[in-house]
Amino acid sequence: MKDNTIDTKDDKLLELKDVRTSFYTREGEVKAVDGVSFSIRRGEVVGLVGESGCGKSVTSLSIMRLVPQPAGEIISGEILFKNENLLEKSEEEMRQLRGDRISMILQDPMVSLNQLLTVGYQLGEPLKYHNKVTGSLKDMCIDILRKVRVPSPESRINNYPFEFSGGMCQRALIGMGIANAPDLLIADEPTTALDVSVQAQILKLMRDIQRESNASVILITHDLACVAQICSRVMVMYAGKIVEKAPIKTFYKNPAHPYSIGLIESVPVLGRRSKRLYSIEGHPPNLLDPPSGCRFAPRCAKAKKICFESYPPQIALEEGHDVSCWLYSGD
Amino acid sequence: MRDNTIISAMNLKKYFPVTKGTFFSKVTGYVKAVDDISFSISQGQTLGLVGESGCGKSTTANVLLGLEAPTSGQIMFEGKDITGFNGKELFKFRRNIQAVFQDPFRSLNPRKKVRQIISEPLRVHKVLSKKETFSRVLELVELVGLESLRMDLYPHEFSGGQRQRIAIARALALRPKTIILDEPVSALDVSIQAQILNLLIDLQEKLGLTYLIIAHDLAVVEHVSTHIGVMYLGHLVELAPSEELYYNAQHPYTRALLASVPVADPEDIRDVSLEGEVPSPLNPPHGCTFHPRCPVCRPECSKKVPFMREITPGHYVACHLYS
Repeated sequence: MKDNTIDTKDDKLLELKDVRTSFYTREGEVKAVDGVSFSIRRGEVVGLVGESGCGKSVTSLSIMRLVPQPAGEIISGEILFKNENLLEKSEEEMRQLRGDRISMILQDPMVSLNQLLTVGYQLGEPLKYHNKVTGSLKDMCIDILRKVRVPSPESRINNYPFEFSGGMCQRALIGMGIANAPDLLIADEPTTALDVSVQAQILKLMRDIQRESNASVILITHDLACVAQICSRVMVMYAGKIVEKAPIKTFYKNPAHPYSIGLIESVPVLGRRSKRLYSIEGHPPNLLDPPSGCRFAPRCAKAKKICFESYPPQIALEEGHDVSCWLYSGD
Repeated sequence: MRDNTIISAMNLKKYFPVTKGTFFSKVTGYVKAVDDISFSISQGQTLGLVGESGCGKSTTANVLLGLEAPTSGQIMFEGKDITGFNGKELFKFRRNIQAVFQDPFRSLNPRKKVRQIISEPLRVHKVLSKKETFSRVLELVELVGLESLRMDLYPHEFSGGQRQRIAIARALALRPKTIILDEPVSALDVSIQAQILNLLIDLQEKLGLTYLIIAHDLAVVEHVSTHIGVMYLGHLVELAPSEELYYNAQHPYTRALLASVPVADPEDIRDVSLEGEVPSPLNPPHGCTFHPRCPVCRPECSKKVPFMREITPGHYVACHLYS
């Protein structure tokens, strides 16, 4: 993990500029991602944190150009991957990128693998599709399984996913994700469906693999503890917008946005027992009709008049620490 | 064990037969989902059961609720043995003990209105007149913090947190003494999770409820429980008051579990403290079921099953290290 250094143009791997993705439903337009901008450098592990429905998964689907159609659509913005706009690419060009330069690890390992095909076959698929097979495909698959620390990989490649435990399935999925040594790995809640002891193992595996391959990783999760364990930077999303971006240590020491503060405070911590947990009142807004002004204002204890009137600009508190909140606007 | 014990389990076992063949099926083995566990909960206290998936936490809850008959053992409720209850007796007993389940999206009937859902236990048990039911429902809704709620809406029109509040209101309808909470917050978002946990604590204080809370999240359990039991493959391996358990865990599994909980602190990077995975309950290891993963395993651990021993008052451990 690199520490936060100053952005330079050439080591930017991915850059999102004002991306907007909407879904059209019978009730109206749902702005799932509403003007999101951020950039990821090479070899950086960034956490994208937020509650369900905040748009974090849709952001990742937008990067992969996998937003379900025709219900959803990327309306505007630019997604620059190695300085090329992904939104201008044809479907065929995208297919060449997916699973090769950009790959994704999905949440539920038991569901994401095809139950009717052996693990070995599924591991080989990205290699075959992208013509990366050199020598024996079987040996390459065994190598991948070894890389993700699956014991006795020689016999394991002939197993079906239902013969694997949840943790093993997740390892196999990570293996598929890194098969072609991608530049960018998007992990969508990789540990949510797993038990605590296995969760720790998968987090360590991801940390090791990231170091070995130096791929950039976007970790999408609602679990602040996971983020603290492997990320170097955090972005907090709320109701379709990124409200705070910060280096990991700054984020836990000096969170700025009231929502970030609330999120950190509301997690029960072992051994730090207090009578009541801090809780953010209310619940996230309906994106069909988001509140005008700051979307968090109706739940915010520090909301001022202006918060209900217009959306706050992004304010840089220090290098790499940006927050969208009127409390820091200076007046 | 203690005085005003409200519910207790003694040597509780629940085995599920494993069969082979469709016709003339033969029982080829048993899954020992709950294997010889004992505990008791006093009035107004909360026992938290933690453990990884497949360790038997939910089966324990189902047996206590009378949803599954135990294979052997005894369940006492207020000094009465309820193990053999069935039919009318079981129906009457269920008033005393209610449940809140994990997923509020699946535990509420999508075709019923909120009013019907909350009043259903009252109608089933025929405790109140129509008019009284109406006002009781209003009272319950207020109790769980949903005053402004429109009662003629369907569950899908509510958020996850609101639905869990509805489920809690339904559980409270019959004024039960005990509530069993099976993963009550694990399907909820962090900010909502805190609201529900606070609500549970407030309700316990106000109504003098006794809780049995089941969760895989140690931090959640530690936050609400007075006592914690740690389960592994059907066995209760450690049982202690929650502070004692956190500061003075004795069983190697409890220690490893505590150490593997990720912390929200980038300066405290946790290493893997527990290698391997939980073995299949179909074919559990001999002796102490934890011995293949145990960092301090001794020769006798693979041979003899360790028994629960009280090492300090109120702190029970099942491990050969302490025998």
